[in-house]
Amino acid sequence: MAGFLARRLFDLLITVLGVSTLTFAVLRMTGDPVDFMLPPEATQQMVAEMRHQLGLDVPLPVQYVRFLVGAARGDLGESFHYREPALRLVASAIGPTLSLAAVSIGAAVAIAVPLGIVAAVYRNTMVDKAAMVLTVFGQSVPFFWLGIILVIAFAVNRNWLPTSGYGSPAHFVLPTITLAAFALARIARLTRSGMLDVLGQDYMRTARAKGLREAVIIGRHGLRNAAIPILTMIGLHFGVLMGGAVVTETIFAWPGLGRLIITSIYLRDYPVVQAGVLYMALVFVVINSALDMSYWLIDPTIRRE
Amino acid sequence: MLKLRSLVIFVAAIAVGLVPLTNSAAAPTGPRRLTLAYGAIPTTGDPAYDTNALAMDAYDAVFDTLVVFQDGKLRPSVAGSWKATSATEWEFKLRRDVKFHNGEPLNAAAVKFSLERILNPANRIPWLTQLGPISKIDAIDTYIVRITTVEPVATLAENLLIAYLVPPRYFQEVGRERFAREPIGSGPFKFKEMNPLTHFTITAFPESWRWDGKKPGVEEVTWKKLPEDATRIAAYRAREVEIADSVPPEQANRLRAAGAKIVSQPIAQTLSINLRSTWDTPLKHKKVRQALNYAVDKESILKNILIGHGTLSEGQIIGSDAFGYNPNLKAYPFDLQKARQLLSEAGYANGFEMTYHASQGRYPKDKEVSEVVAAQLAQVGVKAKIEYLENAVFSQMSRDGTIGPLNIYGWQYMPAMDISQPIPFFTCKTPRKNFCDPNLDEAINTMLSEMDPVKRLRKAQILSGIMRDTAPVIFLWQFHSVYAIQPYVKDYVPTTARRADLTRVSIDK
Repeated sequence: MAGFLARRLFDLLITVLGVSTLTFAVLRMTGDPVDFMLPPEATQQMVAEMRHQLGLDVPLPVQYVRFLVGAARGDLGESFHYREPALRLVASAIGPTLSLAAVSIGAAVAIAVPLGIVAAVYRNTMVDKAAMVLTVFGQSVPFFWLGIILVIAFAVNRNWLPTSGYGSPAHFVLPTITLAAFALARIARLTRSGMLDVLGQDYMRTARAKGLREAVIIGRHGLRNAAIPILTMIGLHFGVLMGGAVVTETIFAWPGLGRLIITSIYLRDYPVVQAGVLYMALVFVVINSALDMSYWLIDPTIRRE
Repeated sequence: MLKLRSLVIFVAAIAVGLVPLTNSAAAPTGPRRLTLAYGAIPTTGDPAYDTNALAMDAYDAVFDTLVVFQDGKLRPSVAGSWKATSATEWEFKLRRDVKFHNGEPLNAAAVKFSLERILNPANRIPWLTQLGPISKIDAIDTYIVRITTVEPVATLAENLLIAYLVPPRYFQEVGRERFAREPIGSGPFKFKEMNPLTHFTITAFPESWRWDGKKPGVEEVTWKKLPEDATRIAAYRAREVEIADSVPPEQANRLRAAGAKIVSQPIAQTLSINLRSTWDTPLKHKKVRQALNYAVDKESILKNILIGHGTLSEGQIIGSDAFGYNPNLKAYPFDLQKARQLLSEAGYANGFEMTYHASQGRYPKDKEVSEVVAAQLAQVGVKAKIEYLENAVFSQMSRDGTIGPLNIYGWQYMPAMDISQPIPFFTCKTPRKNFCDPNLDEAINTMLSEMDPVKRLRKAQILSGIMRDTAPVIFLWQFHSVYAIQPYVKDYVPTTARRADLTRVSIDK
């Protein structure tokens, strides 16, 4: 286990360094933040002065070393656009993103896994067909369309829910449905096909022959054997949602990370983009590690290796 | 076997579990609140750093400036009066009854501090160049400020429209970072709280001189950041907000039919297609530039794409709300015959091909407008090859002078409300090098160096005439900002600078 963790920590360092170097270089190749900070009538001299004040007039390698030294000390610089520490801005957006991701994935899993199991157990019945129609819908409907339709139906035509914003539990309902729809469909379909494979296996017949209860057979012997691809899918979706769901955040004016990073990219707000991307790289590495560990817990054959 | 019935119960339980979260938009009782859904809100509480007109709507309520622009004119504010005492010296006499929200007096020392803060390059304040070349600011009396400029600056008072006044003692005590989070001003509202990603909230400060003893009509005002059009309109339709700004033109009529008050307010920005004369292209010839102006059917585009939410430019890059507007000029009429004739006189009877740099989402309906303009130019044989540029690239190429030869552009004359703001870009010496014509150059320089307001206006109007004839751009229209206002909001009057005097507003529910 210690070896595993050490290896992971090393991976983490390499990933984070690679990602931040790439972000640093690509951002600076594609535009100048000063254009957004000064009125168009600014003189060349003023532009030069501003670039100097921001430290953008020194050679790129020097800027890069400064960035690394700052980052090592936990200082990722001040946002050009918001004039506050980039780290604090990103931190303020993590809460909304994290909570929405967790609630959406939770809702998706809570519905998708039972739905997939039921569809597999009752395959080729009306229940199965209805579930699969639902998942095709969930997989193919675009986020922005679903989000806007939900807003019109439940917030504008009926004043049941707020149209947008972040704060109370009610604010979570529509964005959660919007985000969960896609993940739900993918997870339900994967659960169904995984379960179908497993249900025909010899050990299932054996379990049934032992006289175990059906719930135990399906839960312990069936689901557990089908679990690894399902967990992988859940992990991937969670990773994506943790990075912020840009479209959903935009429709619902959710103060999350995805929207912050996208607007910062448009404004070439280097420090915020760097801090945000760094955080996302961390999230992906952590989730991947957590997934690997979950395989280890679920599957004894992996443990033995 | 799992029972189907238990499945039904399971699904029902989930459904029921989601429902009780519903009732949210409880009717606000207690203080009268005004909520505005804007595409952008202040990114910081420090009014020196956000130059967006929408942010300045909030800053105007919390902070004071020496002068204000109201009902088409520059008017006294904290400065009760001012005069130029020599070509390079101005004196501003302050009101004596202005205090900051923390009790600090707003006197000459506070003005000096506030202006010097903007002028210090180390503070990286974007308005630095807006103030003009100022050499010295003196508090010559507790309530008299003298500003000395390096060279004559005719629009010095106008330039001060962006200089919000801050309390020196408090600012120095808490420092720049905390001031940006907990700002204090002297306006009719005081800062309550903000999150740059979601909202900016202020509450009435009845002791402010700007209320003039009147009882506040609204106690609390919140700007909500809702950049997505559909979201902003939904919030308005669900009555979560009193006012939505930048309503897409095609939505305005529907909202009006549903009972909304729709205000289509001209704003201080005009749209044009810049015609670069400084490269070796057919655009060097005045006749070609004029021909392109005749070839575009501006009125039809305005009517069909912007659904009438714009005001035709009368051959000028400023609207009737700006100093220097010439009421005698008329827009180039749509006349294909004339356009073809001018092109053939210039030696381009068969037309030509040219790059047209367009934007997407930078200006209202810019993509659609560019497509139609290109199609119309094709009718006279001018093939405009549209290339869409990402916003940052667009800005950079504009500044570098590498954009064009044809490019869409929005000329802004806020905050100065004066032709002198955009006009320097049409001189030969601008680093953008987009236009150079000796006649125009001379007219611009004569106007800019004139200090007497009456003579300057006449020179500016002559300049506008020369500009129309020289045709450095295809003149299109002045933008409108379209507001949807709930019928129970009284006296919300947005201005050409996209702001409103909130001390006039009241709510009558």
